[in-house]
Amino acid sequence: METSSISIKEFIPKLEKPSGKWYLWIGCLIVVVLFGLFALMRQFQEGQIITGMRDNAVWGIYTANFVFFMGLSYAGALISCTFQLLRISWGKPFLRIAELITVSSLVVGAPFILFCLGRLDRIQYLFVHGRIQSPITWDVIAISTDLVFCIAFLYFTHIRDFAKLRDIPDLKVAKWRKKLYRVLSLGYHGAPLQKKYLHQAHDIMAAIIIPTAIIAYSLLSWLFGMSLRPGWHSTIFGPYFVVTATYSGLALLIVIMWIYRKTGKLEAYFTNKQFSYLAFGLVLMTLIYGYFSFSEYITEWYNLTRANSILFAKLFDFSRFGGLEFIHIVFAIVVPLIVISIPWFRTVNSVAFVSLLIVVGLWVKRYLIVVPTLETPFIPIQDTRVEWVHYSPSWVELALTFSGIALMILIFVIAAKWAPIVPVAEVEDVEETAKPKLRFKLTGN
Amino acid sequence: MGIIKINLLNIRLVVAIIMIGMTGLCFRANGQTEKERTRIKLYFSKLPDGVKKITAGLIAGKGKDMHPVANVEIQFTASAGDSTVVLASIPTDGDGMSILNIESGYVFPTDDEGKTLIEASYKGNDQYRKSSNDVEVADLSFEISFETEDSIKYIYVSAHQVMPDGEKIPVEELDITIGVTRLFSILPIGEIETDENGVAKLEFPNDIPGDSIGAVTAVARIEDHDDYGTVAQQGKINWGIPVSYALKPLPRKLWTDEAPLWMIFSVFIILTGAWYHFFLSIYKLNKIRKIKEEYA
Repeated sequence: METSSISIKEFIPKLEKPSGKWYLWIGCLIVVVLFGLFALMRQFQEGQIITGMRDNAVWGIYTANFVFFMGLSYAGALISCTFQLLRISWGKPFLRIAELITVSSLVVGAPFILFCLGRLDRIQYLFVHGRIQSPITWDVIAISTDLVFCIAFLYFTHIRDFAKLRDIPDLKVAKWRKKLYRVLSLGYHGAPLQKKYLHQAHDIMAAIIIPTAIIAYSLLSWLFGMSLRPGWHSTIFGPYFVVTATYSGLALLIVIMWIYRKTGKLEAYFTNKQFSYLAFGLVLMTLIYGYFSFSEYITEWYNLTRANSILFAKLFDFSRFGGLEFIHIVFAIVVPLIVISIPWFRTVNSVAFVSLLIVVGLWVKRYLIVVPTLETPFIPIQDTRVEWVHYSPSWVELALTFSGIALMILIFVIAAKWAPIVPVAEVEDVEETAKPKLRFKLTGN
Repeated sequence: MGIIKINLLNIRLVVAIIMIGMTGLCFRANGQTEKERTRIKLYFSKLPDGVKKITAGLIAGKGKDMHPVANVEIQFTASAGDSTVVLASIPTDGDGMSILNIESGYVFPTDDEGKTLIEASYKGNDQYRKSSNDVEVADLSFEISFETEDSIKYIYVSAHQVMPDGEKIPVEELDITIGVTRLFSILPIGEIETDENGVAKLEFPNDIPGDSIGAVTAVARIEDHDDYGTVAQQGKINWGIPVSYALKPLPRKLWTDEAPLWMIFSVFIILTGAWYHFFLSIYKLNKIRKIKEEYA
């Protein structure tokens, strides 16, 4: 493999004194984040009347963002931990990106559900008076657990690189950063026993994060699935959400790899072969996602109650949600199948572009899960205002959405300044293969 | 010529009809539409605490479809002989109701027979015609008492009309409904008629549930009577069956305060398993640090 001769020194210039462009980029991102904070402050001052949420659509773009970012997070965790456990060597260069997707989207996504609360000052009651039967309580427990685990896992994967950075005498970074590298590397010197314990810690965390991620995202789906509302009360929602999350996370991983490949000149690490393998994974996920989507729609459509029939009519009516449904189906199912399945279309750039379309399409899908259903209750509120029945996001919600995206990018940019975006120490171990720990008792010959 | 005369006459007639019609249309076009007629429904009640409640409901409409008129003033007056007292002017609410409560100590002007004419009037406006309604009532007082005779429980009700000089005259042949209060309404338990002394009695049933000590509130009531309006009096007695309304502890269910045990155990096991592995990995990391110290 072309990455076997990797050296941490290759990445040193990227970690040392930032350029003016870097500061400009950071400044722009901070401005967007601050604008989002301003919008949030206005929401606290004025209340939720300045959002598009009303009596009928009590959730909107915030909840769509929450589900979307949580999905990205779980997908990142699933990908990085599975690759770690199975010792898939060709995937090692992009594992750090997957881990950063996990942590950054968790940090960005989790607060979005809090923005939906009318009385955020009573958030402590959720912990004081929380009922273990409530899917909301499950979700709070699962997300906070997952956040701790994923941050720990991200840290574990950095320890050996921190040790390498610590050991570079002429590294031109601030003294406090060098000191921090020394503290965070835990005195790792590559001794066999240290390596063994680090691998064990790594594997344990990877093994526990996979079920945690699946459980947490299933719980998130049950927030919807356990509500008696048209379009939500479905047994398929748990696995459907997990599949959708994995699909969107894989697509975002490809997009970010493509960005680093282009901007960071990392073609040697994010190779054509990796894009090719991931593209096959993507088309497989497209097929599974298409199958799940079809299953969801066909079962709901066959059992049409009055409210369900109204919901379906809205979803495929171009004057209502038909346009968004069209974008979802074309971006997330049709175009990926055509572009990736036909070799003539399949290039690194086209795969990355299609991945971007998938990310957009799957965000739209989350919006279509949340809003049309809330606008179509089984028992409509009587004598309510027409403008309160239909949801459209306000500038506050849009500002916070873009702010969330900016914060996620900001986390990536700063993280890439702290340690190489490619896990150097991991990639050095390419020769390592899976080591079965179970003893098999052989019988017969 | 005769034919011509007739035709001219016809033409004049047609022109006159058209002019009248046009005039009518012009009036309508100027917004001078016909006012809606109004009607007041008036009720008088005397509550158990002696408060007199006068309720007026104003409705309006052109045909059979009448609708309540909100936010207009209704004036209440009480009169007897030459004496008239304006009681109050109260605006109608969203249901067209205007309610006046008068304290128990207030004395209405009365005639020699102890009767007062209560009137509610609406003076009208650009949209609605004026209207009024009145009801003549006398002051009736109930007294309610409870007695047991030969182990049989009786409710006694005496009805008297209060005269201007304070004299109480028994009211005979008055139909009174007796009931006991329940959570949302009054449960009727019988009807009685007063004798020449203004007294009536009713055997109290033995199967009426009461509160935790068996207390029930009995209500004697006449409704919308021609001479007295609606009058009610009540009394409390421990003649009911004691019933404990303390909530029984609910079983563990999804919708109760306490979760099902299987759910608590499942969450506990999952969280314990997850966090055990987390601390196990931290323990392994700690070993790395110790090896470093040994290395040094």
